[in-house]
Amino acid sequence: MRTKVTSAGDGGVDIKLDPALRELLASLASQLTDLIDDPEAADSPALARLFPPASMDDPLETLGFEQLMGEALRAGKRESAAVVRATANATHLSPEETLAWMRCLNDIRLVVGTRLSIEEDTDVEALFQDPLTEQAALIYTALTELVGMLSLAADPR
Amino acid sequence: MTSAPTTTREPDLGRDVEPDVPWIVIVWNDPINLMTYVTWVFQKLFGYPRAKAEQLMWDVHTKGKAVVANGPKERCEAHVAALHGYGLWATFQQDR
Repeated sequence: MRTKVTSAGDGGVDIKLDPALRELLASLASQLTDLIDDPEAADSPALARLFPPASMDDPLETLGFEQLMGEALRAGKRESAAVVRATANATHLSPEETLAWMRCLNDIRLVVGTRLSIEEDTDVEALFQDPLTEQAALIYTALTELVGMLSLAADPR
Repeated sequence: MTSAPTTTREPDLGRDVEPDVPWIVIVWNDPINLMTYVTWVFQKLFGYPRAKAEQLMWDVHTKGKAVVANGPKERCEAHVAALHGYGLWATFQQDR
């Protein structure tokens, strides 16, 4: 089934997706929550990408921001992931659910992209040829398509 | 997009930073976030019209960064938190 995302009248979207991809998205959303809550992963590049320093050159500001906002940010990402798991089989997403999908799928894309060491000039096609990166590259490409479609179909107001 | 206006700044009382220097929010280019997604986030978060959001996205993409908001420290912190919530790479600093 070809992926299709269209604007719905209520500000949300209608979404057509392969059932296998829906299952994968629910599983990836669970894995994202596990990663956020994994103390062993605290220093990983993927988490550093999800929670970047808030100041470029002032570690104290970064620390203060983390103390002030860190838990709310983690909670927000967990919440979006929970919405994706709960609505993985939905053919219509409300505006709030659409927002959660965009945030969560983009977060997963950031994690997968970071693990693939994606740079501006990375040839994603070439990653398909390597058995070590093939599966992650397929997921990354599917997420690229889906996040792109959601960004075009969802109403930003 | 390199300097922020200083005329809209609100009074900034009782803090130990230079009180006359406004704070700015910077979004940095990254190789993963999609242009369409970044544009959408700027529209959603700041209520910018599509054209302005797209221009900001292009500034980020071609110049490596763009100032997307300015104001009192607390408001800039809240903007950075919201941008991190969307997975954008944002920082805040005083506009020295």
